[in-house]
Amino acid sequence: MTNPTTDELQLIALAKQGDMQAFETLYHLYKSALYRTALAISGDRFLAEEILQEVFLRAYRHLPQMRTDVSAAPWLYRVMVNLTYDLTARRKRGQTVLQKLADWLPSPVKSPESQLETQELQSMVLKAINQLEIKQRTTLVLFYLQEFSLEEIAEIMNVPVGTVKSRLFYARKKLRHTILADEQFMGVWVYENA
Amino acid sequence: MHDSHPDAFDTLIEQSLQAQVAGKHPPRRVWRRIRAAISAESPRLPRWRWSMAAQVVVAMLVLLGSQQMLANQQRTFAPPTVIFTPNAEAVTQPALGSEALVVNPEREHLRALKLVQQPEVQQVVSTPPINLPPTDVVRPATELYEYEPSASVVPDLSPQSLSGGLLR
Repeated sequence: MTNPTTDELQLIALAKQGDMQAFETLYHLYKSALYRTALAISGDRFLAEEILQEVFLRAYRHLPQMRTDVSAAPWLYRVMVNLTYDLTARRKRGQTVLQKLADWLPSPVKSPESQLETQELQSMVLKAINQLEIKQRTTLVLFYLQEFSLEEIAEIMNVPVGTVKSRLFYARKKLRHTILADEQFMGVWVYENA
Repeated sequence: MHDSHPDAFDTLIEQSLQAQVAGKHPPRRVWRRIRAAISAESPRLPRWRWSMAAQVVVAMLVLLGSQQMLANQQRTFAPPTVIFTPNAEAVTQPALGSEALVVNPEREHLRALKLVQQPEVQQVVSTPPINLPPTDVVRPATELYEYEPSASVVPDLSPQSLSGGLLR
């Protein structure tokens, strides 16, 4: 993440000069990674779209201050994480009982039986991840999904590396506790690893 | 990139997260919304392409119009008509629709010399019309007569001369 390509730096420089095409290319370079991360943290695709849109609007407004010697990734991820905190908290406050019920309804499964158990497992893990506190969830997503190092996560989340380690440790501990306590999960897990 | 060796549980977390977002891409409408928002808040970016085209057309029309006006002016241009008056020239500018009075200093000087050589002349030549619009080249009428006739004859109007010496 911290080793930018020459192309990316050129794109930033061109975008700073008002080249809209370069800015669009920058968007296409990062859109999927940012969108997936926002989606994994928030669990809401519309919210993830809103976050992605706001990240790039802020990037455009801050183009004059953007450095042309380092990658834009840490800055983009940091804005994304902060926006995810804010918007997720706001969205949760405004969530209706009906929406909460809808979240708990099982999604229809159309895959073959062989994949059913794996999907069940993953579904249970995701449910447990969504029950984590948002900062722990964000750390987990950045670590496992985007495969950032602890230092990179610390830079994105603007916290010391020790805090990242601590959040990751407690997130995993809580996940283990939640998932392993689930009898259904245990059954599938034992069956899968037999 | 991970700092610790992943176990089966770590792998399960990773796979679960990846399965959740696998193949997911933001829809195209996100970029369209970003572009629209940027255009709305930034006047230097064209909001629509047709507005650029309209600006080009207007600029071309203005250019053509100014060229046409210039050509018309060149066709109607004529050299100024010069009307000689005794001590000044009334210059008419047809293009500007104005008239200016230009003093001819040589003519003025010659007239003054003539007055000196002919002392019997008592009256100065009538003043030129001064009701013309003031211009930079027009001088006050008084300035035209800065040479006073030095040898003008003043008739004697004393009571003695009028009475023919009878009163004395």
